[in-house]
Amino acid sequence: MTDLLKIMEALADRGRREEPPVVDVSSRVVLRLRSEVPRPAWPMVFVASSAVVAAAAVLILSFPFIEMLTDPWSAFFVIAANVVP
Amino acid sequence: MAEAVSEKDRLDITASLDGDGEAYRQLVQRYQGQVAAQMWRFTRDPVVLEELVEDVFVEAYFSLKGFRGRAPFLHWLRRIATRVGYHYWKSKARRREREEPLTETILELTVAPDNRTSSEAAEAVFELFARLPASDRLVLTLFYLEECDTEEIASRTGWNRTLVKVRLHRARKKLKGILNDSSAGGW
Repeated sequence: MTDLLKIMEALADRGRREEPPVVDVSSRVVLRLRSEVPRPAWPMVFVASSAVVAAAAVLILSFPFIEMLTDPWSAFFVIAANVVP
Repeated sequence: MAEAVSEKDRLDITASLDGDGEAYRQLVQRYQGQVAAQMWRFTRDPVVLEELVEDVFVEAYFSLKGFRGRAPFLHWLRRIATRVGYHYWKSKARRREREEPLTETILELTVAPDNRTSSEAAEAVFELFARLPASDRLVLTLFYLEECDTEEIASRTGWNRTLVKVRLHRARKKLKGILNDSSAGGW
């Protein structure tokens, strides 16, 4: 039995000297990563320009409220004139 | 990042993390030979070998943020490679259980090691270890073929040293049993 183990160890010694097949997977890895790495759902330029447009819209819509703060009486009359038939 | 990592690797890792595919390609080209040599212990099929090496580098990329640089990049890669190879063996064993019973391969250890080429010797040891469960196979492969001590096996597998020693002891015992059975079978 000991002899068999010794033979196995000697085989392992010899097996370690084996040259593995040459591989080149660099292109495959990069290609696979390009397909697997999640990209942002929206391009950043699109997100930024949308944010600017949204901010401008909010500002325009809030003008009457700003006016209400600076000149409450005139704002009140304007709103009242629009509401009362 | 500590000095354990070479300047070249450090630059390529940083660039890869910034999404530079070319930098990662450089890293793959630098280490694929050593990783392939390690994965060759897990398969004897050149096609599967390529797939395993590829899996190692893809997994490494997704774990790259966690690389702290306390050890050389190759050491870190070897741990991932061990994990990939071990999972490959486990999934292969599960498939084999479902699909086909294990066929007995004839071991011919009686031919003196000196009369074999290194490929034949590696093939014989591979076939012999393939008769064992994946965890035993892994610990024996790392010990006999990769020449790792228990500390290195623990580092590569993520098992603690006591567990490695226990597994190595049990795996050797099973190996002796297999050699004994095969010997009684008349080879």
